[in-house]
Amino acid sequence: MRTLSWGFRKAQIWLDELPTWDFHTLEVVEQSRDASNSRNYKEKKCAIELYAPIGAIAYYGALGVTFTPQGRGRITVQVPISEDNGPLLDASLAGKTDEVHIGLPQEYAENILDVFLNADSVQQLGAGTLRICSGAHGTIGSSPWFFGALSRILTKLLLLEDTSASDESLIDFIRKELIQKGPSTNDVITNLGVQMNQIR
Amino acid sequence: MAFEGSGKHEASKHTANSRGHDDPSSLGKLAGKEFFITEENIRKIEAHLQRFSEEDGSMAPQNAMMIDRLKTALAAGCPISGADASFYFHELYEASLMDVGIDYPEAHSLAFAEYGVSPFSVYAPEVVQSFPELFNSHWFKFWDLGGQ
Repeated sequence: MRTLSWGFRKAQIWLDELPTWDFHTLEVVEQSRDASNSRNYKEKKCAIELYAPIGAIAYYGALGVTFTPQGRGRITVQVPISEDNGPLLDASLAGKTDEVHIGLPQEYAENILDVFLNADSVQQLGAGTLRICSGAHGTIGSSPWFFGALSRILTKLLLLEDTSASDESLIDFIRKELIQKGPSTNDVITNLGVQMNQIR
Repeated sequence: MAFEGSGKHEASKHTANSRGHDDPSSLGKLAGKEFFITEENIRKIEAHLQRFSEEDGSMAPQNAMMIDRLKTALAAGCPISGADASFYFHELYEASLMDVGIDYPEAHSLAFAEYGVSPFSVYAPEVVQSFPELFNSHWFKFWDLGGQ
Protein backbone atom coordinates (compact mmCIF):
# COMPACT_ATOMS: atom_id res chain seq x y z
CA MET A 1 0.00 0.00 0.00
CA ARG A 2 1.27 3.45 -0.95
CA THR A 3 0.39 6.63 0.94
CA LEU A 4 0.34 9.87 -1.03
CA SER A 5 -0.36 13.46 -0.03
CA TRP A 6 -0.42 16.79 -1.83
CA GLY A 7 -1.83 20.00 -0.43
CA PHE A 8 -4.65 19.03 1.90
CA ARG A 9 -5.39 15.88 -0.09
CA LYS A 10 -4.42 12.36 0.85
CA ALA A 11 -4.65 8.98 -0.85
CA GLN A 12 -3.79 5.38 -0.17
CA ILE A 13 -3.27 3.15 -3.18
CA TRP A 14 -3.05 -0.61 -3.39
CA LEU A 15 -1.51 -2.07 -6.57
CA ASP A 16 -1.64 -5.84 -7.11
CA GLU A 17 -3.17 -6.11 -3.65
CA LEU A 18 -6.41 -5.16 -1.93
CA PRO A 19 -7.43 -3.81 1.48
CA THR A 20 -9.60 -6.02 3.68
CA TRP A 21 -12.83 -4.05 3.74
CA ASP A 22 -15.24 -6.95 3.58
CA PHE A 23 -18.92 -6.10 3.67
CA HIS A 24 -22.24 -7.86 3.52
CA THR A 25 -23.57 -7.75 -0.04
CA LEU A 26 -27.32 -7.23 -0.48
CA GLU A 27 -27.23 -7.70 -4.26
CA VAL A 28 -24.79 -7.50 -7.17
CA VAL A 29 -25.61 -5.14 -10.03
CA GLU A 30 -24.12 -6.37 -13.31
CA GLN A 31 -23.89 -4.90 -16.79
CA SER A 32 -21.82 -5.83 -19.82
CA ARG A 33 -20.98 -4.62 -23.30
CA ASP A 34 -18.90 -5.68 -26.28
CA ALA A 35 -15.15 -5.40 -25.92
CA SER A 36 -12.08 -6.29 -27.91
CA ASN A 37 -10.11 -9.36 -26.95
CA SER A 38 -8.07 -8.81 -23.84
CA ARG A 39 -4.46 -7.75 -24.13
CA ASN A 40 -3.97 -8.87 -20.57
CA TYR A 41 -3.57 -12.47 -19.56
CA LYS A 42 -3.35 -12.21 -15.81
CA GLU A 43 -5.74 -11.04 -13.14
CA LYS A 44 -5.20 -7.49 -11.96
CA LYS A 45 -6.34 -5.78 -8.80
CA CYS A 46 -6.03 -2.35 -7.26
CA ALA A 47 -7.77 -0.04 -4.79
CA ILE A 48 -7.79 3.59 -3.72
CA GLU A 49 -8.88 5.50 -0.64
CA LEU A 50 -9.09 9.24 -1.28
CA TYR A 51 -9.66 12.29 0.96
CA ALA A 52 -10.06 15.67 -0.70
CA PRO A 53 -11.18 18.64 1.44
CA ILE A 54 -12.65 21.71 -0.25
CA GLY A 55 -13.43 23.72 2.88
CA ALA A 56 -16.94 23.22 4.22
CA ILE A 57 -16.86 19.59 3.13
CA ALA A 58 -14.15 16.99 2.61
CA TYR A 59 -14.78 14.51 -0.17
CA TYR A 60 -14.15 10.91 0.83
CA GLY A 61 -14.43 7.50 -0.76
CA ALA A 62 -12.65 4.18 -1.17
CA LEU A 63 -13.00 1.58 -3.89
CA GLY A 64 -11.22 -1.63 -4.90
CA VAL A 65 -11.54 -3.67 -8.10
CA THR A 66 -10.32 -6.90 -9.68
CA PHE A 67 -10.06 -7.56 -13.42
CA THR A 68 -10.16 -11.13 -14.68
CA PRO A 69 -9.42 -11.40 -18.44
CA GLN A 70 -11.69 -13.65 -20.48
CA GLY A 71 -11.82 -14.39 -24.19
CA ARG A 72 -15.56 -13.92 -24.75
CA GLY A 73 -15.48 -10.52 -26.47
CA ARG A 74 -17.41 -8.79 -23.70
CA ILE A 75 -16.56 -6.80 -20.65
CA THR A 76 -18.75 -7.39 -17.61
CA VAL A 77 -18.88 -5.06 -14.62
CA GLN A 78 -20.16 -6.29 -11.26
CA VAL A 79 -20.92 -3.88 -8.43
CA PRO A 80 -21.93 -5.33 -5.05
CA ILE A 81 -24.43 -3.20 -3.15
CA SER A 82 -24.40 -2.99 0.63
CA GLU A 83 -26.58 -1.35 3.23
CA ASP A 84 -25.91 2.30 4.00
CA ASN A 85 -24.66 1.79 7.54
CA GLY A 86 -22.11 -1.00 7.33
CA PRO A 87 -19.26 -1.48 9.82
CA LEU A 88 -17.41 1.69 10.76
CA LEU A 89 -13.93 2.15 9.30
CA ASP A 90 -12.20 3.83 12.22
CA ALA A 91 -8.76 4.30 10.72
CA SER A 92 -9.87 6.06 7.55
CA LEU A 93 -8.14 9.00 5.90
CA ALA A 94 -11.16 11.14 6.80
CA GLY A 95 -10.26 10.96 10.49
CA LYS A 96 -12.65 12.98 12.63
CA THR A 97 -14.12 14.93 9.69
CA ASP A 98 -16.50 12.18 8.57
CA GLU A 99 -18.20 8.98 9.65
CA VAL A 100 -16.87 6.29 7.34
CA HIS A 101 -18.69 3.00 6.78
CA ILE A 102 -17.40 -0.04 4.93
CA GLY A 103 -19.61 -0.93 1.98
CA LEU A 104 -21.12 0.57 -1.13
CA PRO A 105 -24.66 2.01 -0.99
CA GLN A 106 -26.93 1.79 -4.02
CA GLU A 107 -26.71 5.51 -4.79
CA TYR A 108 -23.10 5.21 -6.03
CA ALA A 109 -23.55 2.13 -8.22
CA GLU A 110 -24.76 3.95 -11.35
CA ASN A 111 -21.71 6.21 -11.63
CA ILE A 112 -19.34 3.31 -10.96
CA LEU A 113 -21.01 1.15 -13.61
CA ASP A 114 -21.05 4.00 -16.13
CA VAL A 115 -17.34 4.68 -15.78
CA PHE A 116 -16.22 1.06 -15.83
CA LEU A 117 -18.39 0.27 -18.84
CA ASN A 118 -17.59 3.33 -20.92
CA ALA A 119 -14.14 4.69 -20.07
CA ASP A 120 -11.66 4.55 -22.95
CA SER A 121 -9.10 3.08 -20.59
CA VAL A 122 -11.42 0.14 -19.87
CA GLN A 123 -11.64 -0.65 -23.59
CA GLN A 124 -7.86 -0.89 -23.52
CA LEU A 125 -8.15 -3.61 -20.88
CA GLY A 126 -10.26 -5.67 -23.24
CA ALA A 127 -12.71 -8.48 -22.54
CA GLY A 128 -13.10 -9.80 -19.03
CA THR A 129 -14.84 -9.26 -15.74
CA LEU A 130 -14.37 -6.18 -13.59
CA ARG A 131 -15.61 -6.84 -10.09
CA ILE A 132 -15.79 -4.18 -7.43
CA CYS A 133 -14.57 -6.04 -4.38
CA SER A 134 -14.17 -3.41 -1.70
CA GLY A 135 -15.49 0.02 -0.83
CA ALA A 136 -16.04 2.53 1.93
CA HIS A 137 -18.06 5.74 2.01
CA GLY A 138 -18.40 8.83 4.17
CA THR A 139 -21.79 9.86 5.53
CA ILE A 140 -20.97 13.49 4.72
CA GLY A 141 -18.23 13.55 2.09
CA SER A 142 -19.13 10.84 -0.39
CA SER A 143 -21.05 11.63 -3.56
CA PRO A 144 -21.93 10.00 -6.88
CA TRP A 145 -19.43 12.29 -8.64
CA PHE A 146 -16.63 11.31 -6.25
CA PHE A 147 -17.23 7.60 -6.77
CA GLY A 148 -17.16 8.25 -10.52
CA ALA A 149 -13.79 9.93 -10.06
CA LEU A 150 -12.50 7.01 -7.98
CA SER A 151 -13.64 4.63 -10.72
CA ARG A 152 -11.84 6.62 -13.43
CA ILE A 153 -8.66 6.57 -11.37
CA LEU A 154 -8.95 2.80 -10.91
CA THR A 155 -9.37 2.22 -14.65
CA LYS A 156 -6.04 3.96 -15.18
CA LEU A 157 -4.33 2.11 -12.34
CA LEU A 158 -5.45 -1.21 -13.85
CA LEU A 159 -3.55 -0.35 -17.01
CA LEU A 160 -0.32 0.37 -15.20
CA GLU A 161 2.35 -2.02 -16.44
CA ASP A 162 4.77 -0.96 -13.75
CA THR A 163 3.43 -1.10 -10.20
CA SER A 164 6.52 0.73 -9.00
CA ALA A 165 5.30 3.93 -10.73
CA SER A 166 6.50 7.08 -8.98
CA ASP A 167 4.38 8.87 -6.39
CA GLU A 168 4.35 11.89 -8.69
CA SER A 169 2.84 9.96 -11.58
CA LEU A 170 0.18 8.41 -9.32
CA ILE A 171 -0.70 11.83 -7.91
CA ASP A 172 -0.94 13.13 -11.47
CA PHE A 173 -3.50 10.40 -12.31
CA ILE A 174 -5.59 11.45 -9.33
CA ARG A 175 -5.35 15.23 -9.76
CA LYS A 176 -6.70 15.08 -13.31
CA GLU A 177 -9.85 13.31 -12.11
CA LEU A 178 -10.60 15.77 -9.31
CA ILE A 179 -11.51 18.76 -11.44
CA GLN A 180 -15.21 19.51 -11.13
CA LYS A 181 -17.22 21.29 -13.75
CA GLY A 182 -18.69 24.58 -12.59
CA PRO A 183 -22.18 25.76 -13.48
CA SER A 184 -22.81 27.29 -16.87
CA THR A 185 -23.30 31.05 -17.19
CA ASN A 186 -27.02 30.46 -17.72
CA ASP A 187 -27.19 28.37 -14.54
CA VAL A 188 -25.48 31.13 -12.55
CA ILE A 189 -27.81 33.83 -13.88
CA THR A 190 -30.88 31.68 -13.18
CA ASN A 191 -29.72 30.86 -9.66
CA LEU A 192 -28.90 34.49 -8.86
CA GLY A 193 -32.39 35.47 -9.99
CA VAL A 194 -33.93 32.85 -7.70
CA GLN A 195 -31.78 34.00 -4.79
CA MET A 196 -32.68 37.68 -5.33
CA ASN A 197 -36.37 36.81 -5.27
CA GLN A 198 -35.93 34.77 -2.09
CA ILE A 199 -34.05 37.60 -0.37
CA ARG A 200 -36.75 40.12 -1.39
CA MET B 1 -13.39 34.01 18.70
CA ALA B 2 -16.17 36.23 17.36
CA PHE B 3 -16.96 37.62 13.93
CA GLU B 4 -19.29 40.25 12.56
CA GLY B 5 -22.76 39.29 13.65
CA SER B 6 -21.67 36.52 15.96
CA GLY B 7 -21.51 36.41 19.71
CA LYS B 8 -19.37 34.37 22.04
CA HIS B 9 -20.65 30.85 21.86
CA GLU B 10 -19.95 27.75 23.86
CA ALA B 11 -18.74 24.75 21.87
CA SER B 12 -20.99 21.77 21.40
CA LYS B 13 -20.37 18.35 19.93
CA HIS B 14 -21.29 17.84 16.28
CA THR B 15 -22.45 14.57 14.82
CA ALA B 16 -22.86 13.33 11.30
CA ASN B 17 -26.55 12.60 11.74
CA SER B 18 -28.71 14.10 9.02
CA ARG B 19 -31.51 14.96 11.40
CA GLY B 20 -33.16 17.47 9.11
CA HIS B 21 -33.01 21.23 8.98
CA ASP B 22 -36.19 21.60 11.03
CA ASP B 23 -34.47 20.01 14.00
CA PRO B 24 -33.64 22.95 16.32
CA SER B 25 -30.16 21.51 16.92
CA SER B 26 -29.24 21.39 13.23
CA LEU B 27 -28.42 25.11 13.10
CA GLY B 28 -27.21 25.29 16.70
CA LYS B 29 -26.56 28.82 17.91
CA LEU B 30 -27.43 30.24 14.50
CA ALA B 31 -31.00 28.93 14.53
CA GLY B 32 -33.65 31.57 14.07
CA LYS B 33 -31.14 34.40 13.81
CA GLU B 34 -30.19 36.82 11.03
CA PHE B 35 -26.77 38.37 10.53
CA PHE B 36 -25.50 41.29 8.50
CA ILE B 37 -22.28 40.44 6.73
CA THR B 38 -19.28 42.39 5.51
CA GLU B 39 -17.34 42.56 2.27
CA GLU B 40 -14.10 42.13 4.21
CA ASN B 41 -15.27 38.83 5.68
CA ILE B 42 -16.40 37.57 2.28
CA ARG B 43 -12.91 38.35 0.98
CA LYS B 44 -11.45 36.40 3.93
CA ILE B 45 -13.63 33.43 3.05
CA GLU B 46 -12.64 33.57 -0.61
CA ALA B 47 -8.95 33.70 0.33
CA HIS B 48 -9.42 30.78 2.72
CA LEU B 49 -11.19 28.64 0.13
CA GLN B 50 -8.42 29.28 -2.37
CA ARG B 51 -6.30 26.99 -0.18
CA PHE B 52 -8.54 24.16 -1.37
CA SER B 53 -8.79 25.25 -4.99
CA GLU B 54 -9.41 22.75 -7.73
CA GLU B 55 -6.51 21.16 -9.53
CA ASP B 56 -6.94 23.77 -12.28
CA GLY B 57 -6.89 26.62 -9.74
CA SER B 58 -10.64 27.28 -9.76
CA MET B 59 -12.94 27.22 -6.75
CA ALA B 60 -15.18 24.20 -6.20
CA PRO B 61 -18.56 25.03 -7.82
CA GLN B 62 -20.62 24.56 -4.66
CA ASN B 63 -18.31 26.97 -2.81
CA ALA B 64 -18.50 29.47 -5.67
CA MET B 65 -22.29 29.37 -5.54
CA MET B 66 -22.34 29.92 -1.76
CA ILE B 67 -19.99 32.90 -2.18
CA ASP B 68 -22.33 34.27 -4.88
CA ARG B 69 -25.24 34.00 -2.46
CA LEU B 70 -23.32 35.96 0.19
CA LYS B 71 -22.38 38.65 -2.33
CA THR B 72 -25.98 38.87 -3.49
CA ALA B 73 -27.19 39.37 0.09
CA LEU B 74 -24.50 41.97 0.76
CA ALA B 75 -25.32 43.88 -2.42
CA ALA B 76 -29.02 43.88 -1.51
CA GLY B 77 -28.28 44.98 2.06
CA CYS B 78 -30.10 41.93 3.38
CA PRO B 79 -29.12 39.85 6.40
CA ILE B 80 -28.29 36.16 6.02
CA SER B 81 -29.62 33.19 7.95
CA GLY B 82 -29.78 29.38 7.77
CA ALA B 83 -27.27 27.68 5.49
CA ASP B 84 -25.77 30.99 4.39
CA ALA B 85 -24.97 31.89 7.99
CA SER B 86 -23.71 28.37 8.70
CA PHE B 87 -21.34 28.51 5.70
CA TYR B 88 -20.23 32.10 6.45
CA PHE B 89 -19.35 31.50 10.10
CA HIS B 90 -17.92 28.03 9.50
CA GLU B 91 -15.46 29.30 6.90
CA LEU B 92 -14.48 32.35 8.94
CA TYR B 93 -13.83 30.31 12.07
CA GLU B 94 -12.03 27.53 10.18
CA ALA B 95 -9.84 30.15 8.45
CA SER B 96 -8.97 31.85 11.72
CA LEU B 97 -7.85 28.56 13.25
CA MET B 98 -5.82 27.49 10.23
CA ASP B 99 -4.19 30.93 10.15
CA VAL B 100 -2.67 30.19 13.57
CA GLY B 101 -1.39 26.77 12.53
CA ILE B 102 -4.21 24.38 13.41
CA ASP B 103 -4.52 21.68 10.77
CA TYR B 104 -7.59 21.36 8.55
CA PRO B 105 -9.28 18.34 10.19
CA GLU B 106 -9.07 19.90 13.64
CA ALA B 107 -10.12 23.37 12.45
CA HIS B 108 -13.00 21.91 10.43
CA SER B 109 -14.33 19.96 13.42
CA LEU B 110 -13.88 22.84 15.85
CA ALA B 111 -15.77 25.16 13.49
CA PHE B 112 -18.82 22.88 13.62
CA ALA B 113 -18.52 22.58 17.38
CA GLU B 114 -18.20 26.34 17.85
CA TYR B 115 -21.65 27.01 16.44
CA GLY B 116 -23.22 23.63 17.20
CA VAL B 117 -24.44 23.24 13.62
CA SER B 118 -24.96 20.10 11.57
CA PRO B 119 -22.28 19.42 8.95
CA PHE B 120 -25.14 19.20 6.45
CA SER B 121 -26.16 22.80 7.14
CA VAL B 122 -23.25 24.50 5.36
CA TYR B 123 -24.61 24.26 1.82
CA ALA B 124 -28.01 25.76 0.98
CA PRO B 125 -30.67 23.45 -0.46
CA GLU B 126 -30.56 25.41 -3.74
CA VAL B 127 -26.85 24.57 -3.99
CA VAL B 128 -27.45 20.90 -3.25
CA GLN B 129 -30.14 20.83 -5.93
CA SER B 130 -27.91 22.65 -8.42
CA PHE B 131 -25.15 20.06 -8.05
CA PRO B 132 -26.89 16.79 -7.18
CA GLU B 133 -23.89 14.73 -8.28
CA LEU B 134 -21.74 16.40 -5.62
CA PHE B 135 -23.93 15.47 -2.65
CA ASN B 136 -25.21 12.17 -1.29
CA SER B 137 -28.69 11.23 -0.09
CA HIS B 138 -28.02 12.39 3.48
CA TRP B 139 -27.83 15.98 2.22
CA PHE B 140 -31.14 15.60 0.36
CA LYS B 141 -32.72 14.06 3.44
CA PHE B 142 -31.44 16.86 5.67
CA TRP B 143 -33.01 19.52 3.46
CA ASP B 144 -36.16 17.47 2.69
CA LEU B 145 -35.33 17.47 -1.01
CA GLY B 146 -36.56 14.86 -3.44
CA GLY B 147 -34.59 13.56 -6.37
CA GLN B 148 -32.12 11.18 -4.71
